[in-house]
Amino acid sequence: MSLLHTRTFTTTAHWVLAWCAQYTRGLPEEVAAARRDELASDLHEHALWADEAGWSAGRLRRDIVRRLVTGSIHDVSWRAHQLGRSAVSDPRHAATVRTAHRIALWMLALGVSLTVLGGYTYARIIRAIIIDDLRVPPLMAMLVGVLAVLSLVGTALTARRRTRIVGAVALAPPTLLLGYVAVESLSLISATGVQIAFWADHLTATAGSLGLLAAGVGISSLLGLVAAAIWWWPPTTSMPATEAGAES
Amino acid sequence: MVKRRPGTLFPLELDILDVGTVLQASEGSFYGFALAKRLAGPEGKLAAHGTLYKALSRMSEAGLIEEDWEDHEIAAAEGRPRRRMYRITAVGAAARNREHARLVDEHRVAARVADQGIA
Repeated sequence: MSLLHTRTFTTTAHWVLAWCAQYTRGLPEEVAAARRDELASDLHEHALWADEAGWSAGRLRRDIVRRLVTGSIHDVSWRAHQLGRSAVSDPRHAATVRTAHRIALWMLALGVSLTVLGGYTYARIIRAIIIDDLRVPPLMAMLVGVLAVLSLVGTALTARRRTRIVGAVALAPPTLLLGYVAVESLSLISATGVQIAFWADHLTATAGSLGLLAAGVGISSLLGLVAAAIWWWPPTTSMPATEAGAES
Repeated sequence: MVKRRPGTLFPLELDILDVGTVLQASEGSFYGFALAKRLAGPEGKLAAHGTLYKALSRMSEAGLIEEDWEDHEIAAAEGRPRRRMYRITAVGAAARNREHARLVDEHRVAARVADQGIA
């Protein structure tokens, strides 16, 4: 059987084209299509050549993957160059792409921060329970756990364009509550937390100032999240061509 | 993309122009994988996708080569995806000749310095 029709080859070719789809995102469609078609031709010729040379499907896969991996830095550099060119020829499109990337990055950064905060706080609560330092109410411990899981799920969903809206919805509760709940929990179980809360209250001459700050940051971040969700609405790909290119 | 010093070529670009000149003389034009095969050498290590096609894209922008897509019908008749065909332009041929002349000069200078050093 020709290597062209083996599952190994079709899967590997799919990897190459999937990577191509990643680094041509946001580029003008004709540029992306040209690169995709050129790669499809290259992969086809590669398989025929390997067939003639008597290669196994596994050897062909290894060679395609090697070409894919060793050229990936050049793919990224080519993309940066093409983005620069499209910015010159169509500044409005380039500005839209940049904004979309920044919003997506902000959502990801928010999700990762919440996941880290939630995970850390939950780990400290578990440790406190293990060492019988049960000063955190069980309801609060459970809430931290749920918010940490929501943060993780929301971050994962945010990474993909199609699920970004669902990701924003999942991130909403931890965005609003996790900072406040984490501050309150850590001030009960962590000596450092107690010290920091004391200093913050002393500096601002306000009791519970750290919790108030966390609540404020939570509310403003939630507003940012709503704005980001509106930007990414609708979740399907039926958007104008310029914004479709901005998918990240 | 990395900027080329004016009047010089990257080694891969010179290789592409060298191999492309041979392929163009026999076939009229050449395509990416044909280049990759010829560039691979005896050990058969094909150039990476990103490296090869980025170089071709850069050379096309610099006017060293020109590109055109093969007719759909030809590709369909042979049951394969269509190829992007390249041709070396007059600018590319001149750049290749200049680069070879420069390399020969550099080689001569290096040989002279080595001779003087030994003497």
